[in-house]
Amino acid sequence: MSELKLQIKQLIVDALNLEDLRPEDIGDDQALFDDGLGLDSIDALELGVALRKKYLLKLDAGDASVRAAFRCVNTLAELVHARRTDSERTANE
Amino acid sequence: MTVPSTTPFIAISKLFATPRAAGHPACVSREGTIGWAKLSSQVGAICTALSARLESRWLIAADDVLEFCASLLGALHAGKRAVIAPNLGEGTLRDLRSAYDASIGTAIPADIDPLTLAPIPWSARQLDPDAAALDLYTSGSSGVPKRVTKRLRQLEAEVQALETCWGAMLADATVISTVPHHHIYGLLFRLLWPLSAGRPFDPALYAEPSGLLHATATYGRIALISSPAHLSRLPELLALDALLPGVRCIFSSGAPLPAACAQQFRLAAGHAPVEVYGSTETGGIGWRQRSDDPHDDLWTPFPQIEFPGSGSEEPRLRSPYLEPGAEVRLDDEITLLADGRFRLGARLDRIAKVEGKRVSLPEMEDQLRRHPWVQDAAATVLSRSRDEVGAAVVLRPRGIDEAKRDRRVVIGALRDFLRAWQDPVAVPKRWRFVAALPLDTRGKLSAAAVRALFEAATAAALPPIRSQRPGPQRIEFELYLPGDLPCFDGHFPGLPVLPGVIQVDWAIRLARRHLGCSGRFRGIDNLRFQSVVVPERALNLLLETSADATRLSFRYTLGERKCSSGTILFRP
Repeated sequence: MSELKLQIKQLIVDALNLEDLRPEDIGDDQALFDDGLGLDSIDALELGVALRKKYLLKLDAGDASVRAAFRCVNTLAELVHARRTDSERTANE
Repeated sequence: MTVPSTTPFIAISKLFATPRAAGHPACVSREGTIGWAKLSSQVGAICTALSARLESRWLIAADDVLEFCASLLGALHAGKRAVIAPNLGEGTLRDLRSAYDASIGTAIPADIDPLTLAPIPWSARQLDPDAAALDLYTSGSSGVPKRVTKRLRQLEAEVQALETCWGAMLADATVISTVPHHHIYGLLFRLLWPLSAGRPFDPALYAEPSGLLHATATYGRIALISSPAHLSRLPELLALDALLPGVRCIFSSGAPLPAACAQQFRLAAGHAPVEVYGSTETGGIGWRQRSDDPHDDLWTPFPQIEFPGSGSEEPRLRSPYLEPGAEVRLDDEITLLADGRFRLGARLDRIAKVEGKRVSLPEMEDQLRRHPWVQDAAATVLSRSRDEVGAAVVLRPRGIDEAKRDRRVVIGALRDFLRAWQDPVAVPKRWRFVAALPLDTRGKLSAAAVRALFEAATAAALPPIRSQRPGPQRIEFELYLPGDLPCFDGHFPGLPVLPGVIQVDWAIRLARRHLGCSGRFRGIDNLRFQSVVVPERALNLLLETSADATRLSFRYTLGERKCSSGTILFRP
């Protein structure tokens, strides 16, 4: 799981082209938006696109649980972990 | 020098057709007085010479105001179009070569040298103010001079308005200027207005503040035509108390006069300079004279000025100084008040759309300046995969100390600070901490230079070059590596080392600049990194190239120690 979190942090830095931030600067539980990392609504869209691409996730932006998952790296990692397991299970069935 | 208080006001088109007393001073200087009769005969000589020529558009190439004045009026009286270049530099004249047919003046080797013409008495006719016209040029934001044609009637209307507003205040003052005569502001205020009003003007350009003290001593009362660049420095250079009793009125135009500077003059003289707002294209739009209320920033429009679309994003201007019926779009936000005065907002080209959100860059800069670490700031919008804001910031010493420890702390603090006003989308994502903001020669913030701070591949910014020794097909540099070069940032934390790829990049870029290696990059041979390059050191770089500039060998050394070397291959 910590491997996945680091991956997600790297993804945030790369996808959003964050100039003054390294992956290790992002706290697992640090809010990504508002007072935390200060990402904005456009960043949210781009991060969504990057996550869908990298982990082949199907994310519905209208889904409240998805929106909640964008709170911090921990919640994103849980989302990716859960959805990936879901899709693997689906593939096995 | 006393000018009779009954000096009649004469429109430029009637200037020589209406007799003024022959000895009435037109132009005064420490060398003496040029009377009205002499000016008139000079204009007559030029009119006669140009009337004999077929060319219709004449460049007025005069540095001297009196020569300029006689050539301009002579050309108009000869029925010619007067072309007034923004400057007489070679490059400017090359760009404008299709804009005029012939030239008169002594500032360049011109077709007619007015000094060789013998003054002749003439009987001047009245000019047709709708037919007589001048081509002026603005510097233009894109860098290409843009032509603005003014009929004499438009300029006469402006001069009439100036006399109505301030004629009584200036009375018999002599007009002194720190601004050139070939831009609209100087042309109107220091030349055409004094001519019409019969108020003598001094042709000198008063670049030295001490000259102003001489002027008040010589002429008694002066009116000063100046600019913020000059006025804001004046209090440091001379005692305002000594100057101001002899000054009837000060005019300032070209850029906003800092409020603090206006207050300094107000405290010393009892009244602040008159600031004039306008441009070559629009002519004068309005004026203000700051009161003791620091929040009083309202402008009074000149007579008959209208602002269709004020308050909108596309304010326009209707003015007696434009062609009849014409409207010009304004670059500034205008808020019209019930009493007819207006407030000037941000330049509309500084109001940006960031992902659909309207962002005022000047407001953001003001907000940044309120942070205790920030001395000055400039914001710009960068369009990459998305729109984002970049901020270039000049830090105060405390901010610099913080940034040296960890620039991310400073960035975080400034971003948090801005969030109190700004939508998250508008909060700058790119930050540059600079020693000074990039101002152009007129003291205006250069938008292109601010953007360049972000567009440059800053990680590869070249280091300062301490010395260079060129030779045939070779050049040696002594470079200095300051610790804050961006390429040391994060490479590696706590152990800054100059990345090898940067070393190669510098070698290629310096070779392209100095050794004519212009071919496309083809490959690298014999690349060796022998020892690490650390910051705060002088680094030597030797570049040698083959005769056809397709092979470039480079060698970096720190003193005796070899650091790296290799051969870069270019396509022919």
